[in-house]
Amino acid sequence: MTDNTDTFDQALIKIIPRLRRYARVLAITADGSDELLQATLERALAKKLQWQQDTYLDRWLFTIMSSIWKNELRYRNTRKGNGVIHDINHLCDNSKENKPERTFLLTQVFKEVMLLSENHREAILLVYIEGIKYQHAADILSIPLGTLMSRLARARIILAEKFSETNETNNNAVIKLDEHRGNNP
Amino acid sequence: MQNMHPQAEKLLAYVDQQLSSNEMAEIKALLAHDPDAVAFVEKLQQIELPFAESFDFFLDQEVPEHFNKTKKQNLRWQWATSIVASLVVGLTLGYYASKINNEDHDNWIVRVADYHLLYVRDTVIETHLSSSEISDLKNKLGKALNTSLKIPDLSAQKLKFKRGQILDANGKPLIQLAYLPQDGLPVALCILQSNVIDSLPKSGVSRGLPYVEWSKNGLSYVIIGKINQQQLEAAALNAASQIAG
Repeated sequence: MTDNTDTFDQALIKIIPRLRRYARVLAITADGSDELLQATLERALAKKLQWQQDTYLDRWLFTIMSSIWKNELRYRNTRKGNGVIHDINHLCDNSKENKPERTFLLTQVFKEVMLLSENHREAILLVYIEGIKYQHAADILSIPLGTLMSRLARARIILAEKFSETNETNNNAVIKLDEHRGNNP
Repeated sequence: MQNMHPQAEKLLAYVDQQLSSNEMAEIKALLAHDPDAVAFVEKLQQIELPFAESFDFFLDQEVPEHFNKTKKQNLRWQWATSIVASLVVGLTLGYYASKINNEDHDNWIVRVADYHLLYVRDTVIETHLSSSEISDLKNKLGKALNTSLKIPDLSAQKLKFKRGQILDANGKPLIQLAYLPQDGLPVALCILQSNVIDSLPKSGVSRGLPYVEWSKNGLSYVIIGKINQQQLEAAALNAASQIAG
C-alpha cells in the first residue's frame, strides 16, 4: 500500500486481536468487551488523521480504548452487572482450557489475573502481556509512573501469595514453574 | 498479605531488570542492609508466572467479521453521525430552509460529475505550471471564493496537481482543481461556497463516478474521479486535513 490511510487500515486490522484482548481484560464479559472494541475502532477511524505514522499505533489505540472505557462505558457496564465477577468459570468460556496444550497452570494464571482489580489487571496486561515499558504503560493509562509501578508490585505480590497457597495446599497439582521460566518479561 | 515495601516500585524494577546501572547499585546497597527489602524481592521472585502465554489464546480466536468490516462501514457511520447533527441543527435553525439548501447542495455534485465526465487524460496532461504560476493561480482562485485558498498536495496518493479553474454553479463561483494520477483519468477537487452546515466526509457515486464530499466553514468540497475507492477516500482525508490545517 502506498499511503498513510492504507497503512493505517492494514495495521489496525492486525492489532484488532490484541485490542480485543485488552477490551476483555477491562470489561470482562464478551458483550461488554465487544462494545468497547467497536467504540474504540470507530473512534480510531474518526481520528485517524491525528495518528502520526512514525509513532506506535498499538499504544495510541490502547490509549483510546482506556479512555473510552473509563470515561464512557465502564459505568454503564457496571450497571448491567458486568463489573463484578460472580462466577470465575465463565471467564474461560472461550479459552482452550479443554485442549491438551492448554495447561493447568496457564488456565490458573489467566483466572487469577482476571480476578484482580481492574487497575491491577490492566497494568499486568500492558506491561507483562503486551510487553510495554513502564513509562509508556503509565502514559496509556494517564497515571504517574509511580502509581503504575505500585499497582504492578501490588498485583505481583497478590499473585505470588495466591500461587504460594496453591502450591502449599495442592502438591498434586505440581505447578511446573521451572518449565515456564524464561517466558516472563 | 505482605506489606508493601516503601521502595516497592524500585524493587519491582530491580526484579524486572528495568533499572539503570546506577539505580541497580543503589538497590543492591539497600538489599545489603534491609531484610524487609530482601523479603519483598524474594516474594516477587518466588514465582514467575507465564502471563503472556496465559493470555495468548485470545490472539488465536477468530475475530468476528463485523469488526474487520468496521473500516468499510466507517464512512457510512460518519455520514449517519453528520445526518443526525444536520437534523438537530436543522430543527433549531429552521429545518425547511436547510432542506432547500441541501437540495441545491446535492445538485452541484451532479453538475461537477457531468462536467468531469468530459475529461480525458489528455485534457490536463500537457499543462505544466511553474511554482510562481501556481502561486498566482492560488491567489486568483482564493479571491473568487473570498477566502485564502490552499491547493492540497496529494502526492501521497500519487495525484499530481495540474491546473485550477473557476466555473459557475447557479451564479456561485465553483473552483475546480484538477489532479492527474500516474495512470488513468484525472481527478478533480471542487470547492463551492455554501451555507450548509459542516459535515464529515461521505462517499457516493454520481453519474457513475465515485466521489467523497464534505463541508467545512461555509465551503463544500467534493473530490471525484475514476480511481479506486480507497485512494479516493485517502485523497479526501488528506485534502481535508491540509485545508483544515
